[in-house]
Amino acid sequence: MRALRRLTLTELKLFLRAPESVFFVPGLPLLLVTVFGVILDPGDAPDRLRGPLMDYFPAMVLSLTLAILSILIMPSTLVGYREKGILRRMATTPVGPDLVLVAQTLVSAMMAVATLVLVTVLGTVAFGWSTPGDVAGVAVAFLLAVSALLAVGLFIASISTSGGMATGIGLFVFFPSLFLSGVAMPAEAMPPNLASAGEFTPLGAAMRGLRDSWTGSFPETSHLLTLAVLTCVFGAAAVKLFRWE
Amino acid sequence: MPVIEVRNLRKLYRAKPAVADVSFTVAKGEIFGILGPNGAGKTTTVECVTGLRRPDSGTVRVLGLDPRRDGRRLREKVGVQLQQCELPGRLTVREALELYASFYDDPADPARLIRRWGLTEKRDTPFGKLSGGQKQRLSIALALVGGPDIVVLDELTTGLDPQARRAAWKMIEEIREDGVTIILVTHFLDEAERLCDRIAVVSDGRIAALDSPRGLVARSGNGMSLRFRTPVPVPDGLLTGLPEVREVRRRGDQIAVAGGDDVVQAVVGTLTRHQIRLHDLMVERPTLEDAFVALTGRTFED
Repeated sequence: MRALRRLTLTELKLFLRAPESVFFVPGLPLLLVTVFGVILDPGDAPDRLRGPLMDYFPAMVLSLTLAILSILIMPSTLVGYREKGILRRMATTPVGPDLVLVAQTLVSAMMAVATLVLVTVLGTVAFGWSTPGDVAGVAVAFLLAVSALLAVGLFIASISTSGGMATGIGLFVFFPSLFLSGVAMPAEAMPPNLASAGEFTPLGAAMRGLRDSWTGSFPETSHLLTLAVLTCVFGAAAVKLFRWE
Repeated sequence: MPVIEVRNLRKLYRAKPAVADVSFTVAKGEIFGILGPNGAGKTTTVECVTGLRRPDSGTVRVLGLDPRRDGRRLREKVGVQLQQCELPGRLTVREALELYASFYDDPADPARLIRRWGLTEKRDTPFGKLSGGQKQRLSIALALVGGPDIVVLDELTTGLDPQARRAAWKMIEEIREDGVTIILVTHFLDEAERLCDRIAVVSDGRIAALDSPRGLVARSGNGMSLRFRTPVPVPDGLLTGLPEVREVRRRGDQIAVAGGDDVVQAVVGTLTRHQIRLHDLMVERPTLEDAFVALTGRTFED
């Protein structure tokens, strides 16, 4: 436990010291909240525009953050550690290299939760956004979304043989995910078949769950179930396929 | 009682043996060298000793433990410095040592290691900004942070400038003074010759010879050789007749004589008795490199 605590703290410090990761998390979501907060100011924006956008926007920002964090940042960090021999070096100590994976997952989850809090506080305090409608629903949807997306991230790290490959696969997964999931554009603006297929992708299920709960209804069981199943499938595959060197 | 015992170790990569058949023991407090060209199987051998790889056959015992079964207990007591291993670029020296200290039950004091390895001024410098020699010192300190009985140093001085290499040699001797057993994996002959009590010469996944540096040289049977000039011609047969002499070669007025360990005494004595003076005398002891070529039948660079 002492080792895990120290390692997680160290990884967290390293994350915060890297401008390239802090720019995206928590930088980008806070920037988006600020920009859209100004545009959608209750005094200026007509309700007809503000209503539907506010109903979509918080979930969109959070899903985007989770996707960047777990599909783009974490895999390339882990594969970079493998390329540099850091995992092998860890394997020669009593704790072993799997602790790095645990610590990295914890750090990503911590950054995700911090973003959730910062986005909520900034939105409600500075721009008068409504607070989450169903807090328990948001908590459940968010936790399952984090675990499903991090499992996908671990899976990408496990099948990538180089940092470049991890970035490549990450981008290849990232952009279609944004469009399929209803993050890049609201699901109601998508062709119905595509929208319903997207509900069963990791990011799509995360987006729907967060949207529903933010606007006040508990997430649909099918979305939560999707996230839980994806966590198990990608998590198990990652554990089985991960190479330490 | 040996601290490391390796018997008939064998490890295949894609059906090709990286280690064909290796056996050796290491005594407590020894500096044991594993010497050979790149690809000879040195690193694979130590990886099996430290439990990073599972041997295909053979037995390995380290401090009485089986690296695969009692891996965790063994790693508490064996410090490893790996070839080509980095740390995150933004991790500072102090953070690295404190982090690795937290992995062990009974670690050494990171602050003391920082002082001892001359890293005090660099303790808040990130790893990415350290020089090669400083990274090397940190990597030694990390290998020692668990308070190990055995330290494995894999190609410690590769890529270092001559000054940093000499500094690293001094460090290795200091580690031994603390009673730590050292496995030194190297492809530098001068390093092995200078530091090791015994050397296993590895070639093609086998141990070609195992002895002290002097023993290896003597065993290769190259003896001594000397070269000199004389003001007057040396009569034919005067030197070739000596039992200690194996070969006499002339190039211009220079004479080169090779023979056993007593050849210098014999040649100088004989010429002195014949009142022939020697100029520009040079005596050559065969090096470990000569021994390596003789023992493995190949040049070291192959």
